[in-house]
Amino acid sequence: MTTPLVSIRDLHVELGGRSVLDGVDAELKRGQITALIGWNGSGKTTLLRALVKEVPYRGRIEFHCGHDHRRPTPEHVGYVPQKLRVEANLPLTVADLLGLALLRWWPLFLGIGRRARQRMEQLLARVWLGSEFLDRPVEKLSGGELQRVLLALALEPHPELLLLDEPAAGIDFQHAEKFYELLADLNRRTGVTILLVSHELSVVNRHAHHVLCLTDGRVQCQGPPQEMLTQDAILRTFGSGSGLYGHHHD
Amino acid sequence: MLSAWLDGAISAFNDLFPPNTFFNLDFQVRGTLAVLLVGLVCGAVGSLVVGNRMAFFSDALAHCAFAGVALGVLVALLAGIRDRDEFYEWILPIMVAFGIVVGLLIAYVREMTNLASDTVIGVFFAGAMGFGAILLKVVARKQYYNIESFLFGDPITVSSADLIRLFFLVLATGVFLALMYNDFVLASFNPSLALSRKVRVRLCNFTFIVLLALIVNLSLHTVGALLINAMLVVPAATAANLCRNMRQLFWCTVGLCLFVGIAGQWLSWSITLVDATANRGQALNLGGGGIMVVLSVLLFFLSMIVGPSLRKR
Ligand SMILES: Nc1ncnc2c1ncn2[C@@H]1O[C@H](COP(=O)(O)OP(=O)(O)O)[C@@H](O)[C@H]1O
Ligand SMILES: [Mg+2]
Repeated sequence: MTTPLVSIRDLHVELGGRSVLDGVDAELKRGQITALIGWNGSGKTTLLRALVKEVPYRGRIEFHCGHDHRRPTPEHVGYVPQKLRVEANLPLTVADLLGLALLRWWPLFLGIGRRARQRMEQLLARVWLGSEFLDRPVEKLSGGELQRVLLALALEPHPELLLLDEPAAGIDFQHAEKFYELLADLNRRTGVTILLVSHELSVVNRHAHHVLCLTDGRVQCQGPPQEMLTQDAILRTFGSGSGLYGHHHD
Repeated sequence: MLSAWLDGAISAFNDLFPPNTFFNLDFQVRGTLAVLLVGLVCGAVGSLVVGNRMAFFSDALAHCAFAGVALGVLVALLAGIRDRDEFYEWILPIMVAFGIVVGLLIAYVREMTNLASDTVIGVFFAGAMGFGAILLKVVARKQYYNIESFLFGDPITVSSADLIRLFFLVLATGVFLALMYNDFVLASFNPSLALSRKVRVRLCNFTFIVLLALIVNLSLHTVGALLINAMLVVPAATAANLCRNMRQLFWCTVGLCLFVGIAGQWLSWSITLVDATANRGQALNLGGGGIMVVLSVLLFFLSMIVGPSLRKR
């Protein structure tokens, strides 16, 4: 149960001429929820981008999935981005978004067939959303609903690893809590491995099995949440006076 | 060879209609075909340009065509070309290649630096215009190249060879859309998400830039450098006001482009102003490209008024 799904060895990333990740060593254990915490700018998003091979890196990232792959594929990695950059006024609906990602060799403007629509409804049901959401404009969704749609997309077709970048940023407490419960439920039922960037230490404490603290592009400390989230470790990661319990806004 | 065949086909078509009616005139038929083809490509990629915030980029490409022409004229002069038709055959590939290179350079520099994309585009834009301005006097010599038709275009000056090029442009656009529409749009929302879905994000972006450079340069005879961007941007913006999903947006943009193209062509034929100051009241024709653009802008404002109630339904 606790063999690593992903091993990261001595990972270096340079962006715009400066070092963003500076020798990250970490393992994501199979079937566990790993929380990634750290200051803004500490390189959390960059680590996820290296995992989907969006940024060039030195060092090694090994997926022990039994598949050979140079590029990440939806079968291995589901990525839930922090936000979508949708041009204002673009009439993008939930069905459009799912169709763009899921339809292969079938340009979206040719229409979404009945079977594709039924599949989309099933995907939404996995994240506790009804089929009426398919025709909602993406820009009208609440933060929590959008995150669930993106999660539904990432879960197709049942990847072994889920990457989530601050999924609850900007969502009110109640909906954030519901989202994390959904994640924990998925993890329990399907055994999907999860890497979760989060600022909410209370959430980390409750749902994560393992915590990685990133400071200045290095893993400064790691361990089970009960050990990690002592006052001492928080001070080391976030500096004093950070008061990071509860919500953090960028 | 193809264009000789097309010439024949068009004149056979002309003979079916009474003399001096719209369809009896070969230049009107060619012009109509040209606006249909240009409308089709502009409509098909318009929603991508708008959705991807590339309005300024495509505008820059259109203006860079000016420098492309200047470069082409320079090369042709140095090569000792004198004949006008031959001249154009020389200039066109140079223009297209120049547009593609500038487009790719902009994308490359934007990727390599942290500069805002407006800044990068602005710099290249300025460089290209400056280069063109240096050679303005050379280019503007009428016997080589008609600068006015370059800036504003005119559907009725389109040749059969132009039409054939536009036809292949439609094919290329169709292939791009069939293979990359979904991937390109998804990547514009979030590249990391697209990568995790196996999308070749850079390949999509660079291919689209090449396609856009082709579209802009090959459409110049029909709508001109100053107007082509309006055809790429305005109908898509109008459709975005009216439509409730991306599928509607695509077809509505295509429909609007075709509509303003045909309407512009028809109006420029049926409306003539009479210049009273000239001898015997000479007739003045209105610019077809200009009518298309003004029409699409009017439709845009209309869509702002009726759009909200349409989308709310
Ligand atoms: N494309 C880039 N070019 C240059 N610097 C970047 C780039 N992307 C991120 N950075 C820098 O890398 C650091 C880490 O960024 P990021 O991984 O987004 O941090 P986090 O997600 O932890 O807030 C930041 O200081 C950011 O400014
Ligand atoms: Mg981040």
